[in-house]
Amino acid sequence: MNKYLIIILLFAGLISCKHELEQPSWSTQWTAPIAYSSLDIHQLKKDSTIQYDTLENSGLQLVYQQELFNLDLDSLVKIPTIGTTKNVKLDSISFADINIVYPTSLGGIITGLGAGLLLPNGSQAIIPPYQNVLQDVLPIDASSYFEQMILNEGMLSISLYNGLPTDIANIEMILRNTGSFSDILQISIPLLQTGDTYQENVDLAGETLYGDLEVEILNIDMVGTAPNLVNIDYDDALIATINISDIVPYQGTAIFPDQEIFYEDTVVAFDIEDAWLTEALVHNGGVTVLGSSTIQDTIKVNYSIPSATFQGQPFEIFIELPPAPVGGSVTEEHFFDFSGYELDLTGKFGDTINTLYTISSGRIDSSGTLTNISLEDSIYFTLLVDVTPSIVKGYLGSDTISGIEQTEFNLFENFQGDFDLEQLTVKLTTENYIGASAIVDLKEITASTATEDLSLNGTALNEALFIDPATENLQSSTTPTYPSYSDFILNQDNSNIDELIELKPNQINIEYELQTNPDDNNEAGFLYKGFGLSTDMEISMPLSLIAQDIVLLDTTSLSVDFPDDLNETTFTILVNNGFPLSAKIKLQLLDENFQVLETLEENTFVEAAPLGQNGRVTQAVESQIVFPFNNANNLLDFAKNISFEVSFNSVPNTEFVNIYSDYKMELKLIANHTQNINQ
Amino acid sequence: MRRVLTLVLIGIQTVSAQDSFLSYQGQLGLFNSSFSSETLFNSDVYWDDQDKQNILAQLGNENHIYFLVENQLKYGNKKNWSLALNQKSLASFSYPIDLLELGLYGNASYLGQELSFAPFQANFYLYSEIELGFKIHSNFFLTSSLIAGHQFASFKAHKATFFTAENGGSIEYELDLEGHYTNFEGSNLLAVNGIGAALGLYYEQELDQQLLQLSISDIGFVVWDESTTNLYIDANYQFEGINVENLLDFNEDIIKDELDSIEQPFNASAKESYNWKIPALFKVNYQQKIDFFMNAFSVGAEHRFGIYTDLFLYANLHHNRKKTKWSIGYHTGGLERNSLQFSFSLKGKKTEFQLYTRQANAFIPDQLYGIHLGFGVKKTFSTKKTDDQSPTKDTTQ
Repeated sequence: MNKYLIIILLFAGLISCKHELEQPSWSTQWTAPIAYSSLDIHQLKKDSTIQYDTLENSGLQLVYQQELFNLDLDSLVKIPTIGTTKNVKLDSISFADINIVYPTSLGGIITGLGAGLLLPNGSQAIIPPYQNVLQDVLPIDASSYFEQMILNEGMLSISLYNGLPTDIANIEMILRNTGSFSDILQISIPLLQTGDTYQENVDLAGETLYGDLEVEILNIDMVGTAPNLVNIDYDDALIATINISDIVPYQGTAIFPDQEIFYEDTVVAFDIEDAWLTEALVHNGGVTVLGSSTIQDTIKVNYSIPSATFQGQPFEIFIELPPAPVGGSVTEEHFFDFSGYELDLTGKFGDTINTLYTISSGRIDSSGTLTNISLEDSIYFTLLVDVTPSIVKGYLGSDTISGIEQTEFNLFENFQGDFDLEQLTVKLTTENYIGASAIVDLKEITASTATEDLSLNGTALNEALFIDPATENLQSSTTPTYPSYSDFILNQDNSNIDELIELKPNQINIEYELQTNPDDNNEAGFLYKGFGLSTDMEISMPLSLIAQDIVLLDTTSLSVDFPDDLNETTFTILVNNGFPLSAKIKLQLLDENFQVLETLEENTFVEAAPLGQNGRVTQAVESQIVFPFNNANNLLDFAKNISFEVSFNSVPNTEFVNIYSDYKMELKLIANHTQNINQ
Repeated sequence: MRRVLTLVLIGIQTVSAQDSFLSYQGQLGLFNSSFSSETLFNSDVYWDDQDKQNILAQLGNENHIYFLVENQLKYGNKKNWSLALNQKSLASFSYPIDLLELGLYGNASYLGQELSFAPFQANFYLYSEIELGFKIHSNFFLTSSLIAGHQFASFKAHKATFFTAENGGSIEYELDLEGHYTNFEGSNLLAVNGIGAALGLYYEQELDQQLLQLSISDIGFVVWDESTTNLYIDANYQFEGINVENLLDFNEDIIKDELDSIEQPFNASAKESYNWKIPALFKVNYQQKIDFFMNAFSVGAEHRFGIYTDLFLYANLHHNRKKTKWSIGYHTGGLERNSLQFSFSLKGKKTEFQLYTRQANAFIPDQLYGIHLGFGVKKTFSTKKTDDQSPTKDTTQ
């Protein structure tokens, strides 16, 4: 068994002494195309402002368009915010008539005299004369109507009907507020025959009434019926009736009935300079109503603008002001959206302009409780109309707008070098969507660079540009007007415009004066929001040029994850150039802050394609440019942008070279990469 | 790369005993047909051009890497039946010289040249089986197996070319490839992904001085389940770079779109069941006793259908001592490089150990092309004392 063990141990020892294999490494070289592209002149345009027109001979004309200025409704017509305040004091407060009846029965009088045995009820007897049969204070309780009133107007009527079977005489009565020493009325009647009525009226103007009135009867004598027998009926009565009517309180604490306390119609006139507007459509904005009341009862206010309609319905609002506290007031504010409302600005009778017609009314909504109301109470409303129209119609006014439009000009952005243009035309096209004519007078045009300004001169600026009014298109909601167009041409014959363009300006400044409605005769004008007046500049230049070190520079983001081990790589660009322009290409890797990390630049030029007898390129020329690159510092990890700089020179550089639409440059990017395996 | 040249080879000992026994036999081998250990050990850690040329000088038009693991636990009954648990795994990779050239140099050295990667073939399988054997005749033994398939992959390229234009402006490839593989996701290498069955037929005739053994085994199939990926690629592609309509607007999305179009043919796969024929193994061995320094010599041949490109041939000399047996021989063909082979056996009263290798060139570095190791132990259940003086049979096969 030991032998087996020895053999196993020997074998184990042999295995354990084996050489540890190391992982080998080696280098490989790989070449692969990465990308290819075909670049023609159309792809050099960076945005929609540049386009190329192909001419009859396949030559190209560069057309650059840029808006110079745009005047919209906001800048031409403004409806200013207008506020109006209405302070409504109470003209009157109506109050219902008060009628109080107070009977004094025969039975009561006889009982008071102690003559019941002599004059029993139901008997026939001769009533003897009695002196001073009735002395009493009769309370007249009107507190269920009012507590206290100071009257501007009012009439008190007191009537006395003798329903007793005997005449009465020497009647003395006084009417007064309870507890008052001041009498409202004294009545003295010598004789009131049976069946007769005595009435007396008192003007209560200036009087103060309280709800607990009283009538004091000072004396009534019974004349007697002797020698006639009369029926003794205890229900017969002397009836006093007090009626207070035509009450117009100046102030009082009372239960006031439902009643309209004010009604106003008025106009709100907008101050729109010299425009005479008859219609407007509200784009946004609204009406703010601020209401305040000192009335100690609920006031319901109805506010309407019959000339403002939405889908045929006039604008109408209801506001409820709660009772004001004693000695104070209540205030409510409400905003009402006016978007989409059509405004008739011709007033109540359709004979004016810039005016809204409004109606307001207020009512007391009786609460059934005693309320203190005075003609000194008031209600006031502040109405604030703040709207922005989307359409206005009418005479838009004759306005003169002067200005200097400074327009950024990006045609030569990232462009370096010099060129000489053989031909150039600049057309200023005005597009007018406004229902008003205009005259544009260009005062001055200058082109500016960072270091230089150059003004336009020549005969071109001597002429003004007349702009016809647009035509309204009521059939369309998307294109409500047909514009009118007016062109203003600048070329080398009437100006030095070519010098301004060759300056490669970054800004164009135009000083202008625009007068609308110069004829002052268009009362059927219109203006739609988004359809104003604009002027575009269109530069047209046939691509026939002499290029000297023209540099096109563009920077684009680099959003590619490169392999980590991309350390030894060269890039080859195969260029098949069909342009009669030589080119030099420089690539720069930039970090996120556009700082240069690495510049890839070789002195190898892309050769220009030679021109044939007809002045056109007959065959493209192939060039190969190798850009060595070392990613030892992991530059690609930090490269977030890449800039391409291509400088062109026309060949030959002494003659104008035409650029044709079929010219193109084919580019192919090839990566040559050394990949170290296992290193 | 040097690790690649660890070779192990195990021959399955044919058990033909009159007594009951329990045995374990296993072998592990890694072979390559092209690189000797000397080439790898003498090259630096960094392979320069000279090292690359030395490596390529050893390559033929077809080159192979071959990996083999087999284990068997077997019980044999004296009534001539047996029961065994087997686990078999084989991986082979055949490649042309162009593929290695591309891997060593990259395509920049072959601009304007077409490289051909066909025939290219890669196979891998791993399965377990329960094998029941019966002696059906005095000279014939039949086995039948139930198989649980674990992992499987098979790729074969009928045509594969790669071309880079002279200026590097384009890359072209043409690929006609068929592939099948089971789902390798997950860590359970022994997951059951297929079931199958197999037969084996063994013939042995022993005369006075000769022994003749013939066998054909692994005649069977495995039906891999419906998660098997079946790939059929017939693609012809030319890549000239990504077409960028606007060179100044180049971004990663453009690259992704292009890669998607390149990957599209490779994604044209179907998940469905695949019926796989197990590569059958044919063996023949003839042994003749002699009495001149050695006790016997043997010659034989072996072929694994669908895997071997050439017939595997060998010859051995056998010598017996009282307690030990050994043999030494030489083989050629198969997927291996020619090599010496060696077997040693130590026998006790009831127990026998065996150690053997088909790569016995360990001490000849320029001839060492792999590593192979086989190990066997057998326990015999018998009271009869064995004193076997017969020559060592060709256990290496």
